[in-house]
Amino acid sequence: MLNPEFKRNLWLQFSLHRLVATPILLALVFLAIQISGMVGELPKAGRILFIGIVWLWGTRNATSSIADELRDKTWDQQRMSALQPWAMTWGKLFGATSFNWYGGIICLLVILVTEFLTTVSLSERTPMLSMIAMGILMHAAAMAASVHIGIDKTIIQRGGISWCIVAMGLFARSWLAQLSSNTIVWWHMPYDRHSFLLASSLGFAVIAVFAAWRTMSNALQVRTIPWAWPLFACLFSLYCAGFYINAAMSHFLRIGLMVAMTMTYAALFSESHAISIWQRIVVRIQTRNWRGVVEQLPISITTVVLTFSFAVASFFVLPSFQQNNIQGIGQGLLDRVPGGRYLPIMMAFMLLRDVLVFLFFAFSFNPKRVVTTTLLYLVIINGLLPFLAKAMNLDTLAYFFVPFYSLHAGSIIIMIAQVAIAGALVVWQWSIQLKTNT
Amino acid sequence: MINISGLTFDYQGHRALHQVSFSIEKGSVTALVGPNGAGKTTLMRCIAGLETPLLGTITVADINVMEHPREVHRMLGYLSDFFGLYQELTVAQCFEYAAASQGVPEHSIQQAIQTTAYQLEISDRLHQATGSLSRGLRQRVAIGQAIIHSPKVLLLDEPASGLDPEARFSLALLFRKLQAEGMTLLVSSHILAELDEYSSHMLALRDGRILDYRALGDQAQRHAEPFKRMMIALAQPDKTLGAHLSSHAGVVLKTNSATHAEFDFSGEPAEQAALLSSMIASGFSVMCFTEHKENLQDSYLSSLKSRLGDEHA
Repeated sequence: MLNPEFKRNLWLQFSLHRLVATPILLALVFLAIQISGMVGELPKAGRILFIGIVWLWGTRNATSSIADELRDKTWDQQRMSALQPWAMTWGKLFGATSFNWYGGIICLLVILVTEFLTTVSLSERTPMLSMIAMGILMHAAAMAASVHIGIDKTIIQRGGISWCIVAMGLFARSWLAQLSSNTIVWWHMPYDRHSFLLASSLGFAVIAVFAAWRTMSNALQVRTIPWAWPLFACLFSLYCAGFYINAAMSHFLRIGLMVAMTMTYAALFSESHAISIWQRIVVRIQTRNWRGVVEQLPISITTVVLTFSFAVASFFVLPSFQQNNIQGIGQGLLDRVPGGRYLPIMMAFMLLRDVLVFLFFAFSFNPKRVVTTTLLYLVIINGLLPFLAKAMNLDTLAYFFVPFYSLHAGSIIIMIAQVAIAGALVVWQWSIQLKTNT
Repeated sequence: MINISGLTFDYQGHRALHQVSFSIEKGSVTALVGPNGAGKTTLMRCIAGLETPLLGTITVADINVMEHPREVHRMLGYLSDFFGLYQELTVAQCFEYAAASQGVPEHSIQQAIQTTAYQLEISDRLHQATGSLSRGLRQRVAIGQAIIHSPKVLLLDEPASGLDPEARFSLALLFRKLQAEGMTLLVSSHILAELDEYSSHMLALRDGRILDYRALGDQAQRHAEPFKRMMIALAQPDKTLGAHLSSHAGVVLKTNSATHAEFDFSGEPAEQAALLSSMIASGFSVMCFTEHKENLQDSYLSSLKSRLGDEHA
């Protein structure tokens, strides 16, 4: 039997009119280019149309495959269906974008035929495959993010996710494409640029599809342990660290710290941290249901733990951030970070403080606009207050707010004190909520 | 069929369910009643495995909902209060999708569509887009989607909302038929008279707590209780009505005034006739003497009164 979700999407995506009109419309566009005497431009036009139809429009449709269910209140029906998460995932992933692939395949055929006529070598055709992989990557990433955010319909309906994913995809691709050399050195090994781009696109496409399946599993109430998110952080760090000339463990740890922190903020601001979720975790701790604890744990917490792991490893492995001779892609970015072996630990504690500030607002009675409120207060703590203190020559006070000005063991104590204050506020908020509920 | 123990559910700053425990028998139709905000929808969503409670256990056919929600979903049908339909699909396509996604074998899907459409009297609408249907017809399609895979347990949140009286009557017949086929139903509604037509049990919730859970109806009551509720009304007021009734063996007075009284009577039909004769012989102007059948509304209100009385006491 055909996957019911895929079939339903085909019903929605295709009509006789769409089936007939699309090839005619595309044919007219290509004909217009040929008549205007730009036959050589046909592959380029095909690529642009493919990007528009598959990457941009398709990503939008992949997001809509979840947003529409939420908007039309059919999501619960899907969550209760007997379909397995994988069937639901691929049914949506390729069903909701089926019309885009229909148009995209026509564009690819035009590119293939015109390139064949202009005898382009096989090696130069690999970008076409990587374009397909990029399409799948963007669709799957958009779907995974939509399911993950899920409840916050407004973000999805505004198409924020689609444009975010497309922008990131285009940025990453153009960054790799702008490398002047035809050879990319990755973990000391030279690779053909096109092959590397294709392998990267395929690899990340597989990871994105996996992520879509994992998030769908959670939405369909299949219990999972959140190992995939921190594992991706490690893999991505490993991938990025490979671009350094003389890439080594030190680069991996350094990048890992940054990636884990960034992913923590991304997850923290996108997933629900309602007090009820944390109450369930506490109850499971009290009943020693450790598997239940891990199943309920928000994924941002896993990368907080990973951040501390990277920070501690960096503390012991690296004598100092500044003592490393950083070369290669990304050179300069980390050089500008004020040095000191305490920096990784400081950053990990800063992340923990920010998570606690977020939880303080998330546990409040009216937890709307938690993200914007948290960001506002973090700007005040990290920017406005130290600036005012500095302006009034109160350097000691400024140092208490931002103990990064000069790093030593005392800086860590100040940061731990900030964490303790934020933690106390969370406990206070928690106790108020518990009193109200009971 | 459904066993719930110590179910507690919290929303932000508000406890929706407080240590709720009850068991629903297989093949029963339980009316879930209570005011707005009582926790009815939350309870249904917890049973459906759509929400994770703070505490407690829920089993459906001996399967733990929290541990194995997917297994439970296969035997459940759920109609949400705020259901949605695929507006651009036809009724037949909606039914086909619901059946296929609930694991109905391919060769049985067309038959299931026809049967469901017939049961809900929408066979003539199968090829119409759901977006063009009226509120009542959309409600029927949503119910059809919930029952097309013949679930063992059916959870219905306000199923008759938006239906005309004729459709409500048909729905009551359908629920009775599903019950007769062995399905267990949990139905929530604010319209108690409508639930009265097909419910065998009542589960009353208030402020997230169980107010009452009991069997309803003559048959159940007769088995459970050795008396029946009687009502007497007089054309002329008589202040001795209550005292006279109380003096009779087998009478337990419940409410009384100078013109009206309700009492539990535990005697045989002959004794009931003798009581009436004695009332007339004593000069009471009896204009009505009948068994008082408690409907769902009465049950709910008496439960509410009793609970409030306990709280005040």
